[in-house]
Amino acid sequence: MILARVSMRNLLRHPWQSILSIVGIALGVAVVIAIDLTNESARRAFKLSNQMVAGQATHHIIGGPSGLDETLYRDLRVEHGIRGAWPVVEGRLRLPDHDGQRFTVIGVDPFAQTSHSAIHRSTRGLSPTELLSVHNAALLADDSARRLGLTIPGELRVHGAKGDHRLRVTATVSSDNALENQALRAVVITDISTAQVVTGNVGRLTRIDLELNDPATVTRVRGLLPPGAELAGSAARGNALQQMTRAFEVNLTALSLLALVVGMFLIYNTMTVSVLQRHRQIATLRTLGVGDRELFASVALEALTLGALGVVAGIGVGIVLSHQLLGLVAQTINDLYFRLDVKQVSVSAWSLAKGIALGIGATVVAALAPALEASRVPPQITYTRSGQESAARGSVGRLAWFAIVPCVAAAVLLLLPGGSLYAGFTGLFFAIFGFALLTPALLLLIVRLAHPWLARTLGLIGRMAARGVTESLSRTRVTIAALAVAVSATVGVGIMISSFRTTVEHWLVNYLRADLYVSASGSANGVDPGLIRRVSQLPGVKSITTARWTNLDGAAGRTQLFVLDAQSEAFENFQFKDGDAASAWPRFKDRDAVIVSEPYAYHHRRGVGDTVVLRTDRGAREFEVAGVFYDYGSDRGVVALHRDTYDRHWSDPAISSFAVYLDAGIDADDFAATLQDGVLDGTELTLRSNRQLRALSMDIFDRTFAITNVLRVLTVVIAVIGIFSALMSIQLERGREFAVLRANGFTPRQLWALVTTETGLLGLAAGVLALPLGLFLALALIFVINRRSFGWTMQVWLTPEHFVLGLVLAVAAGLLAGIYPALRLARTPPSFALRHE
Amino acid sequence: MNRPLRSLYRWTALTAALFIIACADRDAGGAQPAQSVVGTLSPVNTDGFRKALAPAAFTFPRDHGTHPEFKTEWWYFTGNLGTADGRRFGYQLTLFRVAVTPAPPASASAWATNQTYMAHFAVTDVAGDEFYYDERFARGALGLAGVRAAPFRAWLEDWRVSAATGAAVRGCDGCLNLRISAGNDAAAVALFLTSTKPAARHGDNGLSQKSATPGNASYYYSLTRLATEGTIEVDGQTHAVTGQSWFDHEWSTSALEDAQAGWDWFSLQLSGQAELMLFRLRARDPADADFVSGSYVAPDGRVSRLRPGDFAIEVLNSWTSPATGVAYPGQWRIRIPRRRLVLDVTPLIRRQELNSAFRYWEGAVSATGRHRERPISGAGYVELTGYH
Amino acid sequence: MSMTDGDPVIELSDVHKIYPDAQRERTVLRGINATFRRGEFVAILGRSGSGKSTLLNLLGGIDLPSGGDIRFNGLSIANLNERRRTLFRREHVGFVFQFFNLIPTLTVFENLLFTLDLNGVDRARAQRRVEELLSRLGLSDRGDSFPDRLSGGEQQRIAVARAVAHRPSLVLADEPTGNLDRDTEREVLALLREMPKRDDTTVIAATHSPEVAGCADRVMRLQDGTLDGAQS
Repeated sequence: MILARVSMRNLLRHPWQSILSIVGIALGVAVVIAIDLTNESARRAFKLSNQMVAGQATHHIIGGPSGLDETLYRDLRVEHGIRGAWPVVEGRLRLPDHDGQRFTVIGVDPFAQTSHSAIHRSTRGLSPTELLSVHNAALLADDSARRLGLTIPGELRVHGAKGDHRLRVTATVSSDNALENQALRAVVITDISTAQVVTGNVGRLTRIDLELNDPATVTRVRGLLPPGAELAGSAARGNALQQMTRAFEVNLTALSLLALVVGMFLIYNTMTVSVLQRHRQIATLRTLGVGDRELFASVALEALTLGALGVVAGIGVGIVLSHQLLGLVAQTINDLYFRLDVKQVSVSAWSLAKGIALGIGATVVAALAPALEASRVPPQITYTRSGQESAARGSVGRLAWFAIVPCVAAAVLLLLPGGSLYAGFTGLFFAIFGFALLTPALLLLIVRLAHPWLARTLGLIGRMAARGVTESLSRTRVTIAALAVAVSATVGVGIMISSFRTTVEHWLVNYLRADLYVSASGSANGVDPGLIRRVSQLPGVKSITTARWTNLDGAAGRTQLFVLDAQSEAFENFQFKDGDAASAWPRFKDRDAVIVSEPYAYHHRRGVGDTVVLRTDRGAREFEVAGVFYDYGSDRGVVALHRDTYDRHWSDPAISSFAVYLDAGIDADDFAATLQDGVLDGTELTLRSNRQLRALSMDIFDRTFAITNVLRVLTVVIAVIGIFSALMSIQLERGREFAVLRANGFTPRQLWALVTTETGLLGLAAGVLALPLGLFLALALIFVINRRSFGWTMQVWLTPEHFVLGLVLAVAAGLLAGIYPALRLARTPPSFALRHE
Repeated sequence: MNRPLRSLYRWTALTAALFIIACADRDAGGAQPAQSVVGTLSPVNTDGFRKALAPAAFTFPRDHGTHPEFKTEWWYFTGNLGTADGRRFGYQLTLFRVAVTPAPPASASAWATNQTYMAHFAVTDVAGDEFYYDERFARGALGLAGVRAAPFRAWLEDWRVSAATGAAVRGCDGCLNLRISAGNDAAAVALFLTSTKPAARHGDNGLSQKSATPGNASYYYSLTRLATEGTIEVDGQTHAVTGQSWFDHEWSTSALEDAQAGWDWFSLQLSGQAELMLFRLRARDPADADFVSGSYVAPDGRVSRLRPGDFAIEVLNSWTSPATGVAYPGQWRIRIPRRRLVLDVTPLIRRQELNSAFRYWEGAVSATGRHRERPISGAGYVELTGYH
Repeated sequence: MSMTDGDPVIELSDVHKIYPDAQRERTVLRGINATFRRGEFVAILGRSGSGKSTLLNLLGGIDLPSGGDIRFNGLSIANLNERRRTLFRREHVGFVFQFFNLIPTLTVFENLLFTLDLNGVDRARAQRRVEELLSRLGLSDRGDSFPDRLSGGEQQRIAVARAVAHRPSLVLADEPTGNLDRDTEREVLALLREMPKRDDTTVIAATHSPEVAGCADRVMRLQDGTLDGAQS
């Protein structure tokens, strides 16, 4: 149909606008796809590594902090004839000869299954017998061996429990499935006996995997378990673990959607401007008998064409971007949640489909209003632009009133107690939407306020610029809103991050009071108690507290335990949100009471006086909560208990770290040097001063937000493209008007001043509007989103730099957008522009 | 299985399957796992193990237990059983032990061992024309599998043979009263075995030569007649059965020459309370002579050694397994001229092939013939290895 | 030519048009009665703001009368809904505007093809028709040009051709020569007289040009919201 040609040629006629729209939507889609692919890759890597170790297991038996007694496995097989059971010993190793890379050792019993059908020809060079007959035989993935430069058979020095062990790599394995290879890339497989020795878990199993296919057997197995062991469905367990990262993922997704929303504004604006520009043409079409539906369709088609091109470009950019983001996401997951080895983006069709659907959907939604507008253009032969603008100004009030609806919705979603994280984000988006509706009214207000000032400082040009802004409202309001939203997002997120950061810094100062911290990094069996005794006898040591960090895995997920062998003064390092140190201490010390961190309390809805159930070595048991303390180390929460309590209920003497308090007057650095050379030399223990540990914590904090910052910047980039595109099209559209000015004696310089004043004014307006919204977003992020995601309370720290930066950013965007049209207009001879209208 | 590494376990499971053979089979490149148990007995990697060089006086119950200084060892239970209404069954439960290295590894872990076990279990349901078999593997550590001399217990997980109450039979050398319990989803046995004859030492007072080479021999004795009663469960139905079982215990380090292809082994319980054990180690080259040996156990328990020339085994026909395409002998005629004994040995059903990690045919047979011109019958088991 | 020559195409009876203005109502047309017949060329003269365009909008079904009735071949177009009026326009009416109003993003050829396309004329026939029109205009070589490469006179000639391309019953021309010099005006006027004639199309031209009035079959004057009919 020829009408379609009209649409397409419109796009070609304004290539700049079209390309910028495409870029805008492409970036929006790219960010969404990149985040989704990244999340998806992390999830898949997790699932895969879970699958790799679980095999066909339907269930797992998991024990306490020290795992399971290996005789449980024997009893299951020998006494109870449970056939589908596989023992697993898992642990972390360091490769001292390869930059200390960390590998997971998985110890298996090759006899645990009778099936011999799984002989794979691809596992070339494999001599499985050697896994048992060769001392410390080990298998590596092909890739790993190549990466480590190992010849097979070859020796691999690993550092595990009680020092170094030499593994004999007798064969490599490879899979023609890239994902499986990926899951194996930092894994070394040994016989279970070897794994027990090198991880220091002789007599213990990490877990027993089971393939149980009928409910009766499940019940039977459950009945056979000793206290302290638990049977968990493997899917449920994997899910529970994965749930840990959910809030993190949701936050990233929401940020990526914000980028898309800004991209949506862009499409909306392009289409609106395009419809307005073509008002007369559309009226002609209507007169010639083009129906409203056809017009609607043709505008929608234009938008869809832009959207489709944007989506196609967005997919490509998204995939590239996801490779960049993956490292950041993986880093955070590793820092905060669990070990995850993911180096490869798995491009899933589903992620791409979601991105495409969102991109097209966003385009359609954004094009709805302009398409409707086009279909409503009356077939009047006469037409004036000023009429349009006065109509736009007329609707300002209506829009402002209509803003009440999303604002109320936002308030309900954000303020209603007990709301979900999703509700929080929906509320946030409603608030942004409501704000966008208010933008025109606020914009008018700002310009009106700025008018006298502009007139005074810039004279005629100032007045003209102010009027230019009001006159072009119908074309600028959405762009301004988009810029304001993007800038406010960056202001809001900035305030949130710096508030969070400051809160954590303050917390750390109080929390880390000891002078030196020594920790056993890696999974080796911790700090030798004899060593601690030796340290405690060193002159200058006032006291020592030991700590044990461990996880209780269960069907319902993972609980992090923090076992503290503290005296009452060390206990005072905790800052209590609920309860107080003085009353909590006696119960904590002697009465089996625990204290829980704020996120734990939040997620599990526990407070002082409530109880938490923990699976001890002698079965599940209730523990009283004596206090809720501030803690920013784990967003899932921590249960802290006294070493005595722990020893009463768990048989796990391991110590993860200890803190050294020095006598007054002892120089911590000097002492650290003595300690390092005298006691710690040759051990795997890491010594950090109070200051170093704080710096390390802040490093991790900053790493966590690295991806957030990337997304922030991308959103602003999209918005700047938007404002650039919109302002440029407006200015170019006014060629005739400017030609008249030029003809009447305006110098190019004056014209330049007029245009940049106008666009700068628009940028400024956006910036000014962005500040309150930014503050609002910051508060919503701090008090609603972060709380609902992680349960953290943080203090709001407002510093001017975020506001100033937002303002500068907005004005700069406006000025930047004015430069090109100003230059072009100033260079165009007035006669040319006059002739070509 | 076109997806390699479907799971780590599936993948490592092959270790067990290849375990027993792989030491011997490494030269073959591993592309084709050895199809016969021959590999087990091949004289490879036997340095450091003890060999059966001279006759040794067996002492029971001690020698019912393991001899870990030898590379391989097995405890073999077979039996022909029947229900009151004449439905016939055969069963086999074997525990194989293979040491991967001569010495146990030095390790703090209870899982560390040089001893590995494999168990085979089979039930022949003559009426149902069904043959059920299963195999399992375990290491000889942590109590997962093992053999204990007294009170006797041989087990791999929950397949086990253990001394029954009141086990020691006074005055009967090496006699055992046993309880066998094994099975899977398809078939299971629960049997009580009572020795009725003392241990029969084969070969030269228990030293059973497998070739002319010294040391290429095993220590070998049998309990040739164990009265058996209990239940057999097949196809979801439990049958009360009675009959006779046979127990072999043999240990060695190297027993087959390169020139030997495999063996045919016969255990027959004859109607006159006598038993016959015969084996033939087949030469690869038809021009070479097979190595044959055997024992005749008289009703009173006295053992006569059967030497080459004392007996002849004639294959009457053959049977090709539809599952594997391997052709096995299908019927035999055994002649012991000096004892004026002629026996035709016929499998109860043809399909008694174990297509397991190593493939062989082991099945319940019946025998009919004439002894000193009088009709004689018998039942027993035949094992055929090394057929391709 | 007599006004009794053709059948009536459009009949107006007591047509009023009142615009609701901010303060008070503004009556533009007050009780117009008129009949336009097949094939005739009618010029409507009137001063700027006299309501000429309004009258044309009503005739073309673009706007609705505040009172009275407009019948097109006996069918009351005032009673049609928006969609039906659009379809009516598409099929039966051609427009010539003062400012040409060609679609700038379509070539000359495509501009002519446009109304045919809208009316669902099959592509081959439509193309033949456009070629025929172009050759009649003597612009066969400009088919691939975009309108902005054409002179005003050329554009308006194309506009006339576009108005008659689909052989409508009625061509409405609003100051068709208002933007043209005298020589060009004559050229366009000749076309406007000649082209619709072939299909017996009625032309109603709103104008204040005596040239246009001079070649009309009938001249009517719009003054103070009423139409005074006068025969040429």
